[in-house]
Formats: sequence, structure tokens, C-alpha cells
Amino acid sequence: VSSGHAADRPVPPVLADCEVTDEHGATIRLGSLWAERPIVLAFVRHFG
Amino acid sequence: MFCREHVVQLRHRVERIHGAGGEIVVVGSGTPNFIAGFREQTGWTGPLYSDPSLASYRAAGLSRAMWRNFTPVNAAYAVRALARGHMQGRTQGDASQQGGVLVIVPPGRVVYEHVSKLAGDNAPADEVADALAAGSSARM
Repeated sequence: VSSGHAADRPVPPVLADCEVTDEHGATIRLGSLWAERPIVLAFVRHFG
Repeated sequence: MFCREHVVQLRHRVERIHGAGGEIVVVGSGTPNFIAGFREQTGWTGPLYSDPSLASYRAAGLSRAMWRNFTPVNAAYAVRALARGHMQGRTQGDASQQGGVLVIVPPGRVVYEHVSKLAGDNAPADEVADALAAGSSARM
């Protein structure tokens, strides 16, 4: 398993503007998720 | 199996991350109807979203290539995941898409990143938790 690395750069605006959907069909702008608190944004390959 | 393994590893750090004032947000490439099953398989009750368009994956700079699922290293990762009790399920999403982790602090700075080189190359969970704790304390 490879290690990640420390960074210090702004989130790309295109990422902040992406919308994702929950199981109830509600959409949310990703950028809203880190507006108030730090987050671990974990992308998994799929749901299998 | 790697996706389940990764989320379970992160779930085991959730108390530390909440204690640092943070949250774990999981995004998968499958459609929203697969979220409930994924929650059941992983025990993950926190924020979980679907992005079958893969737009957020592209924006995050993650890899997408089928060959990254079929190397000798993937086989070793699979043995590791199976030994930890994570079985392979039916692919529910984009099989070519690879994962990754960003730790982001307000108002929008990336302080840690891990781009999976291969399927099963999951970000070390302790490393992720350490990055969030450091990023959180640096804000105070």
C-alpha cells in the first residue's frame, strides 16, 4: 500500500462545485461539506 | 472487497476524527440504489454519496484504468482483504475507476492526498486520521 502525502493547495473549484447524491435522492454540492469543518473525503471505486 | 475494506478501516478511526472536529465523507461510483447495501456490508452510518458521473473523481485527479485491477500486486491485496474477512461482491459502479482520499480543511484547502495507484491501494487509515487531526489543530 502506498502512502499519501501532505499537501497545501486550494481545492479545485470544479471539485467544490460537483454534486453528489445520497440514498434518498437528495443532491449536495461537495464544497458545502468542508465549509464548516475538516473532512476526510474518501472516494471508493464502487459499492461492491 | 477493497472498497469495503477501506471504509471499514476508516470507520475504525471515526471517533478520533470526530474528536478532532472532523467528519468522514464517502463517495462511490455506483448509483444511489446501491448505497443501502454498502452500508449494510460495511457498517458505515456516516455521510455516503453516489457519483456515477465520475465528475468528482476526475476533479479530484483520480485514476481510471482497468489494468489497475489486474496486476500481481492486486492479487496480494486481495489475499490481504480476504484474510480480514472482506469478500468480493458484485461490482456496483465503474470497475475501471480507482479511489483516493483527500483531507480538506475549511474554507477549502487540501492538506493531504492519496491517489490509489491500483485497486486495493487504499490510503493508510492512521495516516489519514493523523492528517485530519493535524489539519484541524492548525486551524485553531
